[in-house]
Amino acid sequence: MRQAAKTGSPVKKTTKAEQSEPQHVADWNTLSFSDSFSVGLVLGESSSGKTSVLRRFFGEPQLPTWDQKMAVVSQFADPATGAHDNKGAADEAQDRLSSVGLGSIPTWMRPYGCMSNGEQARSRLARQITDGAVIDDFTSVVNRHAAWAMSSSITRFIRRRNFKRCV
Amino acid sequence: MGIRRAMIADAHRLFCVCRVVFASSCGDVVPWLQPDWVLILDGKGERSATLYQNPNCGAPSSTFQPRITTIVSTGDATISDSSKDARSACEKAWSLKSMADIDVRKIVRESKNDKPTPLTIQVATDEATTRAGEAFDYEFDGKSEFQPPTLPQIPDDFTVGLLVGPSGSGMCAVPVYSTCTVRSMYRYDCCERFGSIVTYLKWDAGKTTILKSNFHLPDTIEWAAGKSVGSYLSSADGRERLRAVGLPEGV
Repeated sequence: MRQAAKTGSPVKKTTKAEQSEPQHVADWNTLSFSDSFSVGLVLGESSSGKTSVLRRFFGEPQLPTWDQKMAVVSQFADPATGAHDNKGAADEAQDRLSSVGLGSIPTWMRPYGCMSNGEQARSRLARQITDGAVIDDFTSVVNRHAAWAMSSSITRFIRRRNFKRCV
Repeated sequence: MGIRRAMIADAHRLFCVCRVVFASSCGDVVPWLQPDWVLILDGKGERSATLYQNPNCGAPSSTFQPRITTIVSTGDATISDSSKDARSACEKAWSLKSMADIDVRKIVRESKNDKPTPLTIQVATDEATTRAGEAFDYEFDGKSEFQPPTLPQIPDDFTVGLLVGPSGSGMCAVPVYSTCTVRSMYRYDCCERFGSIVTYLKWDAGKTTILKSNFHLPDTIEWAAGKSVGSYLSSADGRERLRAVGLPEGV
């Protein structure tokens, strides 16, 4: 919602009957999206315009910043994640990191710069997910099995928290 | 996408570029990339690794087409992230490629070297680290450690090498700990983002600098905003490079 308001993207309410039928358009600029969905997915080949669609309708991805002197698990004290105090931030960190398939405790204790590319991507995702989150290059740096596990757990997390318009 | 992988491997050989290493969590690139060696990291336990050498290392690219046909027609050369499947794919890819009466000598050398020194870094502890440690019965005093994989002896003379392993298995750390010199290293992502230079482990600034200078790891390529990618690669060599990665010249 927040992203939609920011970018002024078109919002349309659809019925269940309309939702069950795929909507084919000759030009994706004419697309419209419901304002009530939780998880959306843009699929396409390389150079097919996935990032352009994200920018046009949902805004730029908001990338978190990282303190290289702190463990990753210590960096979830952000009002955007819903954690306002130390105790809340610690619980929030554990919940979010687990929900992106990053379950290794020693990895949580490392600074962001000491993680592998795949671990960094999952840590970023753990902090990015909120209402209106835009995730580009989702699963691009993890192997297929990790991607499936990550997709399954992140969608459960989003629906449990009732986040909206995550793409 | 597979054709593109093969084009890149062939381009590296045609350009006479040597000692190029690719790192990927997708083992299914093996039949297409046809590297001179594959190092499979298991990413768990003792962090051991297995090195496979291509029996037909350095074969001319003219043998490329039959190679593809054979592999595709037999279907399953894809592998998952488990090292068992990866081994199977290596064996399948290379033995099929060798069907034209080429002597097949698969050399598999298990890790015998001593464990490399662990990388360590100190971070500030706070309630989050304390609570996470307590919740999972993990003692943490602020010292974080990473044990790089134990490596077999990587051949000194090669054109294209491939590192395969799951996320966090230490693929980026291999060139740092290997005795061989790596000219360029690329990370191959599942989504075709080919050619992005790996981000080096940044355990501490001093160590990173030393590692880079010792092992000739390239710095990250800088791209100026507002300048087309094609303008960097306008020469004949540049156009060949663009074709090798499947990008149009006007990109």
